[in-house]
Formats: sequence, structure tokens, C-alpha cells
Amino acid sequence: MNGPSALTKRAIVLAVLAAGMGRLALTDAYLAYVKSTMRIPLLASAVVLILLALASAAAADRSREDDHDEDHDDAAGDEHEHAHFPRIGLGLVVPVICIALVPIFPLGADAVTGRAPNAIRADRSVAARDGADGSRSGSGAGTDALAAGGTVTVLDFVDRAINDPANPFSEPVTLVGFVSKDSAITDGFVLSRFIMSCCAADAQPLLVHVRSDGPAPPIDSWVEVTGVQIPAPDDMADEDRVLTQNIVLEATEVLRIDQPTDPYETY
Amino acid sequence: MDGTAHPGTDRSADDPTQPRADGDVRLMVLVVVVLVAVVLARPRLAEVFSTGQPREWMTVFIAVAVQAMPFLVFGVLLSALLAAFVSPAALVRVLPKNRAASVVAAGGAGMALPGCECAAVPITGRLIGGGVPAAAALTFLLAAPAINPIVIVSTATAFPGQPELVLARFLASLATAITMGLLWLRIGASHTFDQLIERAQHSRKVEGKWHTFTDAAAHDLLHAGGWLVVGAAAAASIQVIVPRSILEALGGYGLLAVLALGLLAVLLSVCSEADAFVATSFTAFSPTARLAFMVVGPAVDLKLIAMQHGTFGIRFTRLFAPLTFGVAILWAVVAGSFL
Repeated sequence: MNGPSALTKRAIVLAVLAAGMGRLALTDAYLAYVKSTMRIPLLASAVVLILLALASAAAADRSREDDHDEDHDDAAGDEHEHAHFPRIGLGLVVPVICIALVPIFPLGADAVTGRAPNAIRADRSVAARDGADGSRSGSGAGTDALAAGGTVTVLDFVDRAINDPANPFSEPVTLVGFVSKDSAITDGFVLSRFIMSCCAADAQPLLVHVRSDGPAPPIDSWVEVTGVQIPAPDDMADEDRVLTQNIVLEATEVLRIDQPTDPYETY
Repeated sequence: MDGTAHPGTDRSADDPTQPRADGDVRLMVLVVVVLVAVVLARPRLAEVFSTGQPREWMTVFIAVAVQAMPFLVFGVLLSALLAAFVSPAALVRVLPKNRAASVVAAGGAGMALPGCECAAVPITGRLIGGGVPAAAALTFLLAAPAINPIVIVSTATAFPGQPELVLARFLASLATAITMGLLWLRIGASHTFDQLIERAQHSRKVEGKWHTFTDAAAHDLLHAGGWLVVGAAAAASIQVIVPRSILEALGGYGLLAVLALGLLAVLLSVCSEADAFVATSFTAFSPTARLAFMVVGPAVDLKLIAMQHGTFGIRFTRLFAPLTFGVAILWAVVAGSFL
């Protein structure tokens, strides 16, 4: 139990935590875990943590100067004038150690299984496309502009395939995602992308059945696929429409690419 | 300032009555052993966490911790402001004298804190330490993450064209918070929060408002943050180990479905600002069941249970968490019956 004073320990843990947050937010590494809008809050909290660490260190100096006869141990509930280091606080260095030791990965193919795929609601996506939320799909334009094709989000593609089968993309579209497995699909592979609203804990997989002749790229590799949407038949039941095998992109080109800066899509 | 060249060892130099050198030597040995182990194990660790469930676990664990950190920092800054600049007398004065009225007022005050549940725990700890009646403070704890403007806007975004669902969430969450507060007036009298009151007294003994502020902020951050990490690890483990399909299979079974999604909200520990988007994905479930997911989540989940256990004690959490779960399910069912 002996060792550095409670205030010194506080300063060290807070500084380590600040370093961890800073390491994530100063690079693009934080995008493996949270949304891009979290960069500023993360940097701000790292600054606050540094200031608190400095204040704790300064207080440690002061308490050393002030008195030499008090016991600084941190037994819970032991009331005395001195700072107390809650031992559980050491837990805060665990995520930082993990970031330092373990490669930083976003959710990948193995996380796809066990989470409900393509669980997007018709009313939300239709309302969003009507302009309630202009932030989606780059241009935020209406149905016609989106239907023209080009590079679209996996969300837009899946949304159109499920909720608006009468209006498929008229031109070839380009999707970016990683490869995951689905034993039901034998004539190609599954292009996957997680869509996140806050952090990886709430991310949900969007899955597209890519039909292609060539050999399937390895699981978890990132690809850019250009192709033509094959809409499901009009009379297909709603519960079949959401199945990955029925959300089809007939590929004309499959390119292996590096993981994009932001591996997730957001609402 | 003597001996600052060796931070962490200098206390032994000026305190001969305490055998602190032993502690320092042990700490040094421990650090060296850990460092060596880590250097040796790193390639193996990288391999293990590069694929499969370990990789998913690590991503979710770090994501929950990182996502919560800015909110936690914001929360402890507020809790430290309470500790340093708001006297207990002032805190008690702003609340209505009538205890039931103070519970209702605390529920309404929850609308003003734009954070999620991680921010509310340290603030509630300081409120109780500062003399606010526990029932009112706990009502605030439950209301703040559930009915603040950010959560309402994100719920409306997730369920466009369904204002009745947004309203149902708001009312059921507020009712849950107030019901728990009123219940606590009856059953919570025997519960004391000595630790919180002692901590508040300790903070007031620190000289100078600025020092009180930084002391309280640093302490609360380490305390709540440490438990948050425990909760994040538990939530990540559940996400990886329990396939959602097990609970989702219960979609068609009425009340069982409501309980299943309520339980899933506890286990997944999704932030209150994100849970509406997750709720939209349970397409096989009734609106009432989804409502239960959104009403239970901000009130009881694994990371909250861990943080509450740290702040309020195990005896409290054993009673409070299950009771809150039951009350939240009840109000979700009531509100859901109007949908």
C-alpha cells in the first residue's frame, strides 16, 4: 500500500488517460471506435485531463511541503484531510494500455454474425430522402439525383433495395466495404459496412450480395465494387427483401483498396 | 520540493517513520516485470486480437470507454462545480420543501443536462453528498440521461414521423424516474450514503475553491471512470458472447418480448443518445418492446450498474437496479398501450 502519494498516483493516471485520448483523436485512429464528430470532444477532454493531472501534481507538491506526518494511505471511508486515490481508478489505464499494445481495428467480418443485418426501417429512410436529413449521402439531393448512380453509401444502396425496389439505381454505382462471409452465397461475396450512431457498440451491419465471376477477395479485405443494382422482384415478401442474398449488385469491377479513413457509415 | 527528480520515491526520503521505500521498490519491480512481460507478449497479443471474438471484444470495449470519456469529463466538471461553488444550504434551498414535490422537480431538472448516463452518476454523487435528499437526487440520476434534449432529438431522428413514440419515451422515462424517487422516499429511508457525505466534507476541507474544484474533479473522474471501464468490459463481453439472435427470437411473444428487449438494453449498455437507432433495428418487435428498450437502457445497464456500485455501494445497487428495471418495464408497457 505504500508508495507514491495519492495525489501523485492521480496525476499519473490522469496523464496516461489524456495521452490515450490524445493518441486516438490526434490521428484518425479514433474512427475505429467512434464517430468523426467525437474528435473535438475527445481532444477537449484530453486537455481537461492534462490540466487536472497538473493540478494533482501541484497539489502533491504542496502537500509534501505542508506536512510530513500524515498517513496518505487510501483506505476507503478513512476520513482524513488528505487526498484519496480510488484504487478502481487504475482501471482507466487499461483501455490506454490496450490501445498501445493491440492493433487498432474497427469492427470486421467476425462481428457481422450475431448482429441483425440490414435492419433499417422504411419510414426513416424515406423521410430522410425527402430532405428531413440533408446530411445523408453527400449531396442530400432528392430521389432522382440519388438514383443516377456514382459512388453511393452502402446505406443508400441497401435502403433503396429494401424500401424502394421500384426505383433501382439506373446507372452503375460504386460501393466501398469489406468482405464478409455468408455460406448461402456462392456466386460472389458479401460486401459489408457497419453503420454507427454513436460508437462501435451500437454499430449494425449493412450487407450487399456482390455477384462476380472472379475469385472472392479474402475475408476482411476492403474493396471498391462498381456494378449494377439488380432489384428484387416486385412481388417479393418484405421479410425476404431484407435478406442479404436478395440485395444484389452485379459487379463489373472489383478493386482491392486500403481501409478508408472512416471505416463506418453514419446515419 | 526536495527530491522531485524521482517522483514517486521522494516521500520515503522525508518520512522516515513510514517504510515507504518497500512500497516503492515493490512498485518498481512490478513495473519492470509488467513491462518485460508486455514486450515479450506483444506479438502474440497482436495476433490474438487481430481476428474473431477477441478483436470484436477489444473494439467494443475501447469504443464504449472512449465514447463515454468526454461525457464523463463533462459530468465530473459539473460535479466538481457543485462541490466547490454550491454550498449544501443553497442546494437544499432551490428544491421544494415538500419531499414529493422535490422529487418531481428533480425529474424536471433532468431535462437540462445534455449528457448521457455516464455524466449523471458523479453529479448525483455530489448532489447527495451536498445534502440533496437521496430520493430527489436519484430521480435526477434516472431522468437526466433519458429525457434531455439530445436524446429527444436523436429519438425523433431515429423514428421520423412517429412523434407519439418520442412522446411515449419521454413520458415513460420521466414517470420511471419520478416513481423511483417516490418509492425511495418510502423504502430508502434506511439507506445512508455516508461515503458520499464524507467525500463532500473532505472536499470542503481542501483550501481554496480552485483546489476543491480540481480535487473533486480528479477524484470523481478516477472513481466513476474506473467503474465505467469495468462496465465497458462487461458490456463488450456480453456483446461478443451472447448472440443477439437468442433474445431477438422472442420477438413475437408479447410481454416476453418486452422483457427480452428490456434485458437486452441492460446487457448492451448502449449510450442513451444512440439507443433509439439500435431500437429501430428490432424490426420483429412490437413498439412497446422497443419502447422498453429505450426506457430501460438509460436507467439500468451494465456500465451504469458498475458505476452506481462504485459510487453508491453494493447494497444500494442490489436494490436499486432491479427495482428500476421493473418500474421501467411497467411504465414502458403502460405508455406502449397507447401507441
